[in-house]
Amino acid sequence: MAILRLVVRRLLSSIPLLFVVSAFTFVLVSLVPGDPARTIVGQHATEAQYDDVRARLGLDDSLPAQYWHWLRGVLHGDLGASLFTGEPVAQMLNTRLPVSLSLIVTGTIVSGIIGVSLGVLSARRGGALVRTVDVLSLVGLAVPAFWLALVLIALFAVKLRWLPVTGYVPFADDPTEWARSLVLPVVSMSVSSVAIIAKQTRDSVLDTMSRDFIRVMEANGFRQRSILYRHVLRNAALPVVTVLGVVMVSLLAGAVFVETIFALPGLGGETSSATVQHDIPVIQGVVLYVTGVVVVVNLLVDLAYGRLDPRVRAA
Amino acid sequence: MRRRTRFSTAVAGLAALALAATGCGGSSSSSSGGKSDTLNIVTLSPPASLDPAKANVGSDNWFVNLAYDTLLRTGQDGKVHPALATEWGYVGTGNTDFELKLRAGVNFADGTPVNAEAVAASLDYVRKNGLNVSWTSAIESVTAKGADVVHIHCSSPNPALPRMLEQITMVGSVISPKGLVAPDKLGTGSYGAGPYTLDPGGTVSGDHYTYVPNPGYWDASRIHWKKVVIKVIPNPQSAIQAVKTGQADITNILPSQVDTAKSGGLSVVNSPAIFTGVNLVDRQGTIAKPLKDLRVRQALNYAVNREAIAKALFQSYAQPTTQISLPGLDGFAADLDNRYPYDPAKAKQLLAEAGYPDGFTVDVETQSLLGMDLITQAVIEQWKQVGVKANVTTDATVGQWIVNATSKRFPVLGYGYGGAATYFASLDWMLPHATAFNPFATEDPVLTSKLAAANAAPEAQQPPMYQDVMRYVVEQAWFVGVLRMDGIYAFNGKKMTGFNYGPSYLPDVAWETRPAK
Repeated sequence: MAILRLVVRRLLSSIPLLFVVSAFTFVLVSLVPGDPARTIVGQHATEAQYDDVRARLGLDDSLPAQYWHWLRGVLHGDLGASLFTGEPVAQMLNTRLPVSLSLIVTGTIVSGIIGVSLGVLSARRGGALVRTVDVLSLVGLAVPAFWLALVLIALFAVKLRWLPVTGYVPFADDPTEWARSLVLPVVSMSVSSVAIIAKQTRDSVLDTMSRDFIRVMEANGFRQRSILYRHVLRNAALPVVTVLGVVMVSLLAGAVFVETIFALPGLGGETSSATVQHDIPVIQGVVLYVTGVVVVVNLLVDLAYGRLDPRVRAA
Repeated sequence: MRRRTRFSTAVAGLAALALAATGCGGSSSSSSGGKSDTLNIVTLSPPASLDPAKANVGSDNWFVNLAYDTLLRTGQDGKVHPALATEWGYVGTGNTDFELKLRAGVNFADGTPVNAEAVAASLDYVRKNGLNVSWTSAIESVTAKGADVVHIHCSSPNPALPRMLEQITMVGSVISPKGLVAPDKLGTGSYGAGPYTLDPGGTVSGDHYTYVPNPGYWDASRIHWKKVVIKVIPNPQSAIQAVKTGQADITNILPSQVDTAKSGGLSVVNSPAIFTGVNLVDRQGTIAKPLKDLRVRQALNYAVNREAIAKALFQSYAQPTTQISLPGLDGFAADLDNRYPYDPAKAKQLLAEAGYPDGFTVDVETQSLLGMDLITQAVIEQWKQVGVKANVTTDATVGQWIVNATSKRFPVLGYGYGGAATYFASLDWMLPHATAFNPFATEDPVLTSKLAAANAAPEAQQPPMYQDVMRYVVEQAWFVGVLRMDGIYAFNGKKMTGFNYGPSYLPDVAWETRPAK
C-alpha cells in the first residue's frame, strides 16, 4: 500500500513538471529562427497562399494563445497533428515509442550487467584488472557514440555482413530480426554507460568493503562469497542504481544520434526532423513522451531504493 | 533466493538475445533487401507530403509517381509521351488553349473511372493548392468537354503545359474524386491511378513507405515488382552502406561517395541537376547602390574563377556556367557557359569605370543546403581580390532562407535551382513577381517582351527565342552563375535495368526500372 501511495504521489507531482517542460519547449522553439508556413508553401507561393497557411495553422495567434490552444487539446486527449503531414501526433509517436524503448531498455540492461560485473570483478581482484577497467572507462567515455556507430557498421555490417546496416523490425514481426537490428545501435550507445557504471560500481564496492561492519564480519570468519553477495553488493547498490537511472535517461538523448545513423524509426530521429522543420505539435508531443519516460525511470529508481534500503522504505 | 531467480532470468533473456543475434550472423542479406522481386529504394529525407500538389519536385517524385499516373509522361529520350492522355495539343495559335484526349476505360485504384470531369477536378485542386502555384498561375479554367476531353484555358500564353502535366512537375498527377473530398488524407495515403498503391500496413511515415501493385492498373506490363519499399536513411554514409550490403538497391549519393560506390560494385549514373551561384537581386540599387550599374554586375562576374571552384568542391561532378539553365533544356546555349571568363584585371577596370576603384561592401545571404554556402563563400573570397567585401548570413534551412530572401534585406543571395523549362524559370527569375529569386521584382521591359513573344510562339520556334532570352539576362548580369552540379545515384546494376537519369528526367522507378534477367 505504501508503495502504491508513493507511485500515485510521484505521478501527481510530475504533472506540474509536464507543464513547465512543455511551456519551456514552446518558448524555446518559438525563439529558433524558422517559419513552418514558409517551408510548407515553398518558394513559389504567393503571399496570399502563405497568409492562408499561417492563419490555418494558427501561427498568427500570440504565443500564449498558441500554447493554450495546444494545452486545451492535450487536456482533451488530443496531441494535435503534424503541421506537415497532417498525421495525428499520438499515432506517429505511438509507433515510434517502442523503438526508442527497445533501445534504451536493452541498452540499460546490457550496460548494467556488463558494467556491474566489471566493477565488482575489478574491486575484488584489484591490480591489472583495475587498471584495465580504468583505461577502458576512459576510452569508453572518450569515444563518441556516432563515430563508434560508423566504425561498427563498416566492420560488422559492410565487411563481415553479420548484421544489417540500418532499419528496425518490430518484435512482433520477427523476434530474431528485432534482436539483430538492435545489436549495433545498442552496442554503440552503451559503451560509455558501461564505463560509467563499472567505475561507479568499483568505487562503491571498495568503499563498502572498507567499512567497519564488513571488517567485523571478516574477522568473525564469515565466508567471502556470502559477505560480498549478501552485504557488500546490497550496500554498494544504492549509488549504482542512481547511476543506472541517469544512464537510462542519457541513453534517451544518445538515441537521437544513433537512431539517425541506423535509420531507426524512433522518437530521436523524429525529434531532429521535427525540430529542423519547426513542426511544433510533433516537438511538443515528443517532449511529453520523453518527460513521461524520465518520470517513470525516476520512479523505478526510487522504488529500487525502497527495496534495497529499509531506511528509505520507512521514510 | 527470489532475487537471484529474477537475476538469472534476466541473464537468460540476455543470452537468448545474444544467441539470436549472432546465430543468424552467417546468413547475410536474409533481411528485407534480399528478395529479387522487391525494389528497395533509399532516400535521404522523408517526403514533404504524399499529396501530389504538396510534394517537392525532384526529391519526392518517386513517392508520388508510384501511386499516381500522370496525364503525360516524359520518357528516357527526354520527349513527352502519352500516358493517361493519348492525344494532346494547343488549340489555335498563341498557346493559351490546350486540349487532352483521355485514354478509354481507365480506373483509379479505388475503382472510380478516370474521366474528363475527374481530371478537371484534380487539375483544379492542384493548381489552387499546389506548392508550385506560380507555375500554374496562367491557367484560368479547366473544363471537361464530354467524357474524355479536357480543355485548359490560360489567361496568358503558357507554352509549357505538356511539361507541366507529366511526372516530373507532378501537376498532371490525377487524384481520385474520393481523395479530393478529403484533402487532409492525401498527405498520408494514395488516391491515384498509378501502377502501385501505398500499403498503409507496411508504412511508417517518415521511416519507410511500402507500395504494392494496383491489380486494376490499365497496363499490367508496367508492373515489374511485387513490392516497392522506399526507406528514409538521413545519414548519407549509412545510406550508401545499406546499398553496398544489399539491404537496399538504390540511393542518391554525393560526389565524394562515388569511389566508395564503384569499389563496392555498384553502378553509378549522374546528370546535371542544379545550377548554383549568387543572385544580384538588388539590381535596381534600392539598398546596394553599386549593383544598379551594369559594369559593377559584370565586374562581379569577371572576378569569379568558376573552373577552380567547381573542381575544388565537386571534382568532375560540376561544370562552370554563367547561365540559369541546364544542357538539354530549351533556354540552354552552350556558349553562355563561358560568357564571363575569369579576368580580375578586367573586373577591377570595370569597377573603376563605375566609380568604385576601391570596391564596396554588400550583405549576402546564403544557406547550407547542398554545399551552397561553400559556393557563396568561394565567390566572396574571389570578390575580395577585386576589393568587394561581403557580410554573409548563412541559413540552416530552406524555409529560413526563403524568409530572408523575400525580406528585401539582402541585395545578394546564394542560390541553387533545379533545371526547368525557361517558361517555369522565367516566372521565378525574370518577370516582375516578388519571389525568392527576384525579391525586388525587377522589371525589364525588353526581357518581358522577349519572353512574351517566345511564350506565344509555335513550339518549333521556341528554343532559339528562349536562348535569346537567356543571352539577354546573362548579358545584363542579373546574377553571377557559378556552376551546375550533378545529381548522382548509386544502384545495384546486377539486380535491375531501366534506371536512367537525364536533365529534366528522373529515373522512372514506377514505369521503367525492372529486374535484370
